Amino acid sequence: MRVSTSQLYRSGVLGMERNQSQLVKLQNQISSGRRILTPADDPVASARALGITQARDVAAQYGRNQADASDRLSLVDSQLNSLTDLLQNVRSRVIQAGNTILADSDRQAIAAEVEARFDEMLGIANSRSAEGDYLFSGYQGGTQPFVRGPAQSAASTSSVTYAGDDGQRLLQVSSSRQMAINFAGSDLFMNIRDANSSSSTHKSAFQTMQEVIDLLRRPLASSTDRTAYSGELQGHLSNLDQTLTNFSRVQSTVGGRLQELDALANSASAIDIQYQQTLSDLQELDYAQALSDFTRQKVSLEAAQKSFVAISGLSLFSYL
Amino acid sequence: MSTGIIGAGLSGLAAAQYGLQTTAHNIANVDTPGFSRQRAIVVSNPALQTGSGYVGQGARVLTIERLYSSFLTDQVQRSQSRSSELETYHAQISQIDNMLADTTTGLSPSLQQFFNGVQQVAANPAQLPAREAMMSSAQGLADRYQSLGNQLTEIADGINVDLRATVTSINSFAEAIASLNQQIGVAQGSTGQPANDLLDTRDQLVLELNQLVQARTTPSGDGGVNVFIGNGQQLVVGSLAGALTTTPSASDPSRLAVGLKTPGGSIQEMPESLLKGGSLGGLLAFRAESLDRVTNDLGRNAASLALAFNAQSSLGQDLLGQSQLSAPPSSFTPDLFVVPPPTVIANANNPAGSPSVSAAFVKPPPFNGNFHTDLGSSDYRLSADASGLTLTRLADNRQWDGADIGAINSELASDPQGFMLASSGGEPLAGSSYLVRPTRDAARNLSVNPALAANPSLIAAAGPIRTTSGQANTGSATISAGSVGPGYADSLAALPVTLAFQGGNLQGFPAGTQVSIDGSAPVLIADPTQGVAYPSGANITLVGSAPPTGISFAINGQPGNGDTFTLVRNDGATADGRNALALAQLQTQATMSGQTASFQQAYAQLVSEVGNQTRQIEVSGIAQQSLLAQAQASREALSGVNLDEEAANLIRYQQAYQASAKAMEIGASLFNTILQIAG
Repeated sequence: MRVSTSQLYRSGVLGMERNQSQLVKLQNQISSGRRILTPADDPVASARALGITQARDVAAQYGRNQADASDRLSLVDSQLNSLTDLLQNVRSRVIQAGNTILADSDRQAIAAEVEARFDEMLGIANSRSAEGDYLFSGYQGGTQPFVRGPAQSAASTSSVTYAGDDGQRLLQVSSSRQMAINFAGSDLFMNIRDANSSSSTHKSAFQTMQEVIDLLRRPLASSTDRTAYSGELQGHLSNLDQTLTNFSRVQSTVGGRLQELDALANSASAIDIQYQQTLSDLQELDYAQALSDFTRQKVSLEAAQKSFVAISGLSLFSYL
Repeated sequence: MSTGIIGAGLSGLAAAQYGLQTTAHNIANVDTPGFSRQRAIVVSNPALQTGSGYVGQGARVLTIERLYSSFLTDQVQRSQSRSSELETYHAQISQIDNMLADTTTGLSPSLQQFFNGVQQVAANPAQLPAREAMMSSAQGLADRYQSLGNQLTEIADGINVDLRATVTSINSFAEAIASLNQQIGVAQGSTGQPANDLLDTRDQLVLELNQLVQARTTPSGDGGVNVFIGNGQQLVVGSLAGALTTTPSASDPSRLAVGLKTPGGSIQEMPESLLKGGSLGGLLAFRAESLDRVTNDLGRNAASLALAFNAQSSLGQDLLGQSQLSAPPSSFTPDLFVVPPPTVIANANNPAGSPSVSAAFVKPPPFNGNFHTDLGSSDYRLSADASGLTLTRLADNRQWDGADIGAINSELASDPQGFMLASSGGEPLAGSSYLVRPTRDAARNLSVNPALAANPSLIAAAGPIRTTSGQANTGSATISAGSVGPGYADSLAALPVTLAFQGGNLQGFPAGTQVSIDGSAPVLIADPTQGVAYPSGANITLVGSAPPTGISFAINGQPGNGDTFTLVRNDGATADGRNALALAQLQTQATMSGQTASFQQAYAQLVSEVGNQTRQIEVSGIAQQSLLAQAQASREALSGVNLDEEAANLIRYQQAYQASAKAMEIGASLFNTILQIAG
């Protein structure tokens, strides 16, 4: 084919430009480490990368929620430990008080000690989280859940009422799991089955303690008194055990949840590695391949340049 | 005899001179775009008849011709037009491609941060810092949508500017071609010889015109060409040039359309589909096929997010204990995002007295406990004629017909498109049309409700109700936390409601309540003593004003006689984050595209579509470029100047010149010889 002079230059320049644009693209890929510079480079992988990035970020958020849940349940757990210790202590005092040899003054002293435990329990029941929310008030984080009312009769000192609700505070700890991170005070302290009633009525932990205190303060004048005293004390002991059972039921639930959180955290880190791997496969550059391509392209450009110079130097006019 | 030699030699000299002149002209124009090499066509002079036969009388130049093929030139023009179109399209769509390119600056990170913020509120509903953080991430998300939307608007504005400039250039080319037509006519008419260089110049102008818009030429008489664009619209006829102009589109005054100025001076808008090829075709195709779609799709994303989020938010209760249940005056603020309603533009040519038509988004219907929208990414046209109204979805020409707007709306109710129409001042008049753009402006106008931004306590993080079981209950039954759906506030006169279990029935539903068990047809409660058979574990709903949803709960297990279960307003529930959890779940739910895609998936789909389109245009562009290069090479092979060839011609013509001169010298010396004899 006949070739015009300007065609000779144009095709030479075109070839060099093509090589250069390839080189620039490779250079961009190499310097950024990314295989996909714009979605046009690989539309499908770009869309997948967006999906996986979100899945990974969401999983990371679940991970933070798990840690959060774990912190809060651990706080509940330690409060439950204190409560159990406290009740064990009361229980041993009550057993001690069952000894009928004790004088009224001795029982008064025990009563005073149980009274102190009572206050301690009320304190724990009204404890707050690090964020300042009451732990055992259900949804009503700003409402003090347990309030000591005035004495109802001369024989009893006071009663404690529950001002919270049954609400469960939930955290999203995985895509399909919302975990409660609190226990309502009603569940923990109030709705405890009365061991001494044939119908299934409830007696709160506070009432049980109050009744113990009231009983210990009662002077014992006769043997009839003592017999009645022993019987009642036995009944209270059963209710104390009932309360302890309730605490340990809740504590084992807490333990179960903490274990579940551990398991979730373990699988989450495995999944995160998987996501990272997929993302890197989708987006990141295969350096060995890219550098070899770069070298090839460079050789090709140099060849184009040399041949262009050689061809453009050929002119019949040089010999005229 | 010798005079014959001198005459023939002289004609040879002249022919060689023309040859040298033509060669020099070719060399001088080696780089002139559109130049076709020329050559002198030499023929021998008529011979002199003698008794000894015909004696040659030298040569003469018949004409100077250019080496030219109209087929090859047409081919270059056509390829150039398509190549310029793709190049322009690619330059434009690359802007969007680059805008969406970076996974760290696109929409995704803002979306993720926002939902992280929502999760933080779900975890710490009472904490003002968490609420503040959520509002600032909401602001960040709205900013992101706005910034992407604004970039797209800037691209659209840039297209208006480019259109104006392109149309101006097209007009000046048209005038130049018309003027050359005239000059060529004059030049060729007076001599009968081809005006080679003028013809080349005109071909080059037609080629450059094809870079702007596809133009076809047909020869007219006296050497002129007529130029047509689009569907046979005349741009140049002989020495007369027509004119294109830009005019605000009748259907959407915010954008320019291309119009043809008629001889009467009126402007006739040209359908965009007719203007193909060149950068004008590229601009219009990009605007219609890519830019509008991307803008609508991003807007759809923004509007769906706002609508779904607001719908869920309205079912909550804020930190101050306010909800839909609060008696007025209440500052309960259900809308977290503010999104403008769909745009409806009345056609500029509508008959006088046409009513104004508006559109509103449909509140998202509930779906598996959450919300979704039915918005698409197409624009719609509402047109009226004598028989009634037609709403056309422009992307696929799906149509809905109706006698009036009410009829169209009821069709939209069964085939939801995410919006409803309304008209103020009567039904649209026959002959009018309206452009409905549900989501075009949603992204760039999305904003955060300033009331919530100023007071994050108003974020509805809690549920509006809670449940309790009676403390004296003897059975083992428990009641679920309870949830609410749209219209719940209208289901009851007032909370609390206490239900009592008695002999296998639940009693105590307030008179007038509609009770539905597991979504079955609601039963109207006539009297609080009316019993509803106790359904253990079933979902019991006190239906509200938007059936089948309302206030729902379930009671599990065996209650004892006289056991009570109470629904109360969730007063003081500062630590309740149930509604925030539901808000956070919107992130991963199929809230868009016919319940098939989440916000992020819909966005990823958009990114992938733009990527695919860019790639396709790029590949077509490269292919078209090599077609163009081939066409150019074919044309150059015939018409291009080769300097080596011209150098050889120089030598050839030089030698011919020298030889002719020699012949003349010999002729002269012959004459001298005779003179000497005579002398």
